[in-house]
Amino acid sequence: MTIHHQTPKETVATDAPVSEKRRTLIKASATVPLAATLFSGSALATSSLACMGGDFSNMKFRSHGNSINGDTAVRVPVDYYKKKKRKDCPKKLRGELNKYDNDLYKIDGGLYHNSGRLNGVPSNILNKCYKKPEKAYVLKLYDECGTALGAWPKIQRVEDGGYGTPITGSCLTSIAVSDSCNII
Amino acid sequence: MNKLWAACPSSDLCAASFEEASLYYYRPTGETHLLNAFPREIVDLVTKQPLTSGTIAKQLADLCDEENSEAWQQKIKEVLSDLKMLGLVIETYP
Repeated sequence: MTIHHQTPKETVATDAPVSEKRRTLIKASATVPLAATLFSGSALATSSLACMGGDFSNMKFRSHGNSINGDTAVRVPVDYYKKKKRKDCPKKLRGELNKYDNDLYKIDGGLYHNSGRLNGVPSNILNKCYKKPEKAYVLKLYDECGTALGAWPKIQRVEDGGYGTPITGSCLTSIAVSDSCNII
Repeated sequence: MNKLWAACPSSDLCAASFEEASLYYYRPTGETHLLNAFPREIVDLVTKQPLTSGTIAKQLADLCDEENSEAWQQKIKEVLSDLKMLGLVIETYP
């Protein structure tokens, strides 16, 4: 690195061009710039204190929508169920369909709405009135001590009235993360 | 007078770079910082010479095939602000 003690003057860079590989990396990380501090020792894990640059969208997909490309948050893959159009659900089941939310995430065997509400959807309705599940990558949330609480939306974030805080992969130097946790 | 961004003194840093990430040990605080490629490129740019955030935004927009929009310029300012907080860049004036 260069020391800049003198009165600096701006000039246009004339250095050699950036390699294509590095350019690709820069472009990819432009979506989620990460500038974080690695804390040693203590179990400090609250991302809002320890990390910067995370993109903490609650849920992302690998191939569409909110892409996980460049994402640095700790996430877990879960089955995501979306309700079919009413007309595509057998008539005999339509009456009951309104009881259940449109978007559901399967976590620990339960089906949860974005709000954290548990839906007890009968299997026949789930099979016939919801689309086939796809993998959604949801935030894994932690408490202020770095203890894993579970996946969103079963666990809600602090700003939504819950107890969970998302973290980025760079914060993991001080946290023990279970094998089931994907760092993307 | 336009504010320029420059790298912190090299004597304050011990850096190790990998493909996707760079680690910077910052001696004044004893902390180690981790950057991915985008903020690292900003640090590299201002290491070569002090630059305005506008110039940095333009150079990176060209590099990333992005429009040098207000949102893009704001992103650059936010990353510069983060890097300043970490001590990796400093503000200076011509």
